[in-house]
Amino acid sequence: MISVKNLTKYYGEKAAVKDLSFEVKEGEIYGLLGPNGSGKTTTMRILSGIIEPSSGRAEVQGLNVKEHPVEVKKKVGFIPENPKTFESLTTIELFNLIGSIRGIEEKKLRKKLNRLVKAFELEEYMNQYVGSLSFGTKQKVSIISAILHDPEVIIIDEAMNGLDPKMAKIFREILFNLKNKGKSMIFSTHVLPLAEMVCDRVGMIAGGQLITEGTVEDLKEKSHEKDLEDVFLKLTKSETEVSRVVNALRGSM
Amino acid sequence: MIQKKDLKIVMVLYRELQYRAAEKDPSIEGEEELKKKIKEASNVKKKMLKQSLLFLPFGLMLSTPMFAADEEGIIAAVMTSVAVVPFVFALYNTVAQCAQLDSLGVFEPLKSLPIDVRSKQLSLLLSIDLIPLFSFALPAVIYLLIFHPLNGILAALWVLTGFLIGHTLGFVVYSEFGFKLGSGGSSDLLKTVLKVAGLIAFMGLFFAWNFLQDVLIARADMLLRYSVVYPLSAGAIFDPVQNFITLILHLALIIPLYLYVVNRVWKRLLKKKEVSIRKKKSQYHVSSKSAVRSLLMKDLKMLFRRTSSLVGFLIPILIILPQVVMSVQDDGLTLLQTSAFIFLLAAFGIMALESILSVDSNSIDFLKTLPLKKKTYVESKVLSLSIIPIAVSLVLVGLGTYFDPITLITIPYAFLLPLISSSIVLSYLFSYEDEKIGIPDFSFVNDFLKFILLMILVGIAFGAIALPLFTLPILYGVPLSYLIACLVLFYLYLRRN
Ligand SMILES: Nc1ncnc2c1ncn2[C@@H]1O[C@H](COP(=O)(O)OP(=O)(O)OP(=O)(O)O)[C@@H](O)[C@H]1O
Ligand SMILES: [Mg+2]
Repeated sequence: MISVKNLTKYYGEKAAVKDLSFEVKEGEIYGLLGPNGSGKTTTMRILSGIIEPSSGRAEVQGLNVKEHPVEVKKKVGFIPENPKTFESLTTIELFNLIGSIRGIEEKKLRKKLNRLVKAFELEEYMNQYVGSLSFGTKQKVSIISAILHDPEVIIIDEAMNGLDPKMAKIFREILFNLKNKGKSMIFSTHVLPLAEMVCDRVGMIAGGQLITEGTVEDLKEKSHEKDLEDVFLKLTKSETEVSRVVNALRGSM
Repeated sequence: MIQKKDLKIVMVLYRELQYRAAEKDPSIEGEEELKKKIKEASNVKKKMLKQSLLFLPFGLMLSTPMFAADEEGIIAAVMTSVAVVPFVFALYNTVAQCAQLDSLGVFEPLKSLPIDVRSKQLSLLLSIDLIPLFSFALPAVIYLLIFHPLNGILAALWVLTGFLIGHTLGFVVYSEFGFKLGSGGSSDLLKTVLKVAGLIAFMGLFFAWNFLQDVLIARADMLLRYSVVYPLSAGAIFDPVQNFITLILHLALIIPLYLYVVNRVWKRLLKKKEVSIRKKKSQYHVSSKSAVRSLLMKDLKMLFRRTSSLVGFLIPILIILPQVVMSVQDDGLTLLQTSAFIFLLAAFGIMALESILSVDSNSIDFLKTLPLKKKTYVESKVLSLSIIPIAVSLVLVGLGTYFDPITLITIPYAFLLPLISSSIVLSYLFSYEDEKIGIPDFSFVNDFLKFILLMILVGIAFGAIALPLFTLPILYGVPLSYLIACLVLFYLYLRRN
C-alpha cells in the first residue's frame, strides 16, 4: 500500500516533482510513465526512503517515508535504473551482506536464494566478482538484491532493459506471482507495450506533475487513441513536437 | 610539452573528481551548497595558493630549530625531517588519489573520445593537490638560499627529488598492489597474503632509511659526511660536491622508474578490468551475521583485495617500526615503552580513514536502499578502522611480554586505544544532524586543518588516559588509566545513540 499526497521535491529552485498525488493498492502494479526528466526516478527514490521530499506526504504501508526512512526501507525493495554496487565482492558475498543487513535468517536466506538463483540462472556467477558481470547479469543481481527480503512494496525503475527475452518473461512471471501475494508495485518503463502488459493502472507524469491516471483501457478511451504510445504522445503534448523534430531531421540528414 | 589542451582536460577531470566526491558527502545539503563547493574547488589556482599558505606555518614550525641555531649539524637534521614530510604525503596522496580516480571512474568519459590522453595529464592532475605540499619545506629552503646559497640550491633540489621519489613510489604501490579482479576463491587468499607481505617489505625498505637516520643521528659528524641515501642525503648539503653526485645518482634512478611506472598506472586506469573466469558451476556458501559484523567483513575483504588501500594502515606501523626495532636492540621493551607505542599506533591509525571511507564510494547509493541506521554504519566503520591497529598492538604486547612479562597487563590498551581514536574521528565526521548515511568528503592533504584538529582531539583523550600511567606507580596508574579509557569510550558510544 503506497500513498502519495501533494508530494513535492525541489532541487535548488527547480521542482523535479510537483504536487504529485496517487495511490497504489495491495496486489496492484502501478505504472509510472513519463518523458525523460519528468520526475519518475525522483519519486521512486523518495518512496524508497533514499531522498527526502521537500513537502507533501509519502506513505508506504502506513509509514511516513520522511519520518521513518529506515523502517520504510525494511518494507521496500528498490531496483534502481543503473545498478551500482560493490564490484569487488562476489555475487554470493553481496547477497550474504544484504541478508545480514536486512536481518534475514540464514535458513530462510538459503531457501530464497536457491530459488531465485536458479530462476535467473545465476549459478555459475555466484563466486564471480560483481564487477566482472555483464550488464544484464548485474541487473539480475540487482533484482534479486531487492526482493530477497520479501518486501511488501517493490519499486522498479526501468529494470528490464538489460534482460534478454527469456529472462524478461521469467521476471514478469515473478512480478505476477508477487502481485498475487498481495504486494504493491510501482513500475516505471519507457517500453510502453511492456507497461501495457504488466500494469493494472498507469499514471502519466510530465514536469513532475501527474497529468492523467487510470487503467490502460481507460486512457485509450479517454484520449480516443488505439495505442498506448499515441496516448503517451498526445497526453505529454509531444505529438506536434515529434513531427516537428522528425521533419527537421529529415531536412538535415 | 604541456599544452593548453592538456591543462584544459586536467581542469575538467579535477572538477569532475571534486563533484563526484562532494556529491556523496552527506553533510553537503542541497544543490546550492554543492555548487558552491565545486566552484571553490575548481578555482584551482586559488585553491593551490590557499593550501600552500595553510601548510606554511607548519613548515615554519619544522624549521625553527634551524633559524634558532645556524649550525651545520642542526641544519642537517632539520633538512632531513623537512624533506621527509612532502615525501611521505606525496607517497600517500598519490596512492590515495589513484585509487579514488579509479573507483570514481573519472576517466570513463574520456575513453571513448578521440583525444590523446596521456600519462602526463595524470601527473598534472595529481600535482594540483601535491604541489602545495612544498610549503612544508619552503621556509627552510628559503632560509638556506639566503644564508648559504650553494647549499640552499642543493636543499631545494633534494626537496624536489624527494617529492618525485614519493610520487613515483606511490605509483609503484598503486600499480603493483592495486585491485585486480581475480576469479575469487582460495588461490586469491594466498595472493593477497603475498601481496600484503610484499607491500610491507616494500614500504619497510624505504622506512629502513628512516631507521638508519635514527641510528646515525647519534653520530652527527658521520651523518654529515656519509649520507648517500634519501632522506638522509638531504641533510648532507654541506658536502656540496659529493652531495651533488648523490643527487644525480638518485635522479638517474628515479626518473626512468617514474617514466616507466606512470605509463603502467595510466594503462591500469584506462583498461577495462578483466577477469579470468573458471567455467564450472561452483558451490556457494550462504551465511547471515549481524549487520555490523557483515559490514566489517565486507570492508576487510575489499581492503585486502585492493592491497594498495592498505597503505593508510601501513603508515602508522612504519612510523613506529624504527623506534620499536631500536628499543628491542637496546635492551628490550619496557612496559611504558610498549604502551607508548600502542598510543602512537592508535593515534596515527586514523591515517587509514580515507581508505576505510572510500571502500564504499561506488556503492553508497546501493547502501542507501538498505535499512541501515547511521549508527550501525558508523559502528562498522569504527571497527574497520581499528581492527588492523588492534592486531598490530597485540603483536606489540606479545613482543613486550617476551621482554617483561608484566607488560601483558597492557592488553586492554591494544583494544581500547584504537577504538577510541577511531570513534573520535568517525563521530566527528558523521556528526551532521540527520540519519542519512554517506561518505564524508575528507582527505588529509585537502583538509589538513581538520586533520590537525582531529589529532588534537585524539591527543586530548589520549593525554588524559596516559597521565596516570606515566605519573603514578603501575599498581594504581594502570587501572586508573583503563578506567578513564573505558569512560571515554563509553561516552563516545553514548554520543552515537
Ligand atoms: N541530484 C539531482 N540534483 C539536481 N537535479 C536533479 C537531481 N536528480 C534529478 N534532478 C532533476 O530532476 C528532474 C527529474 O529527474 P528524474 O531523474 O526523476 O527523471 P526521470 O523521470 O526518472 O527521467 P528518465 O526517464 O530520464 O529516467 C530532472 O529535471 C533532473 O534534472
Ligand atoms: Mg529515471
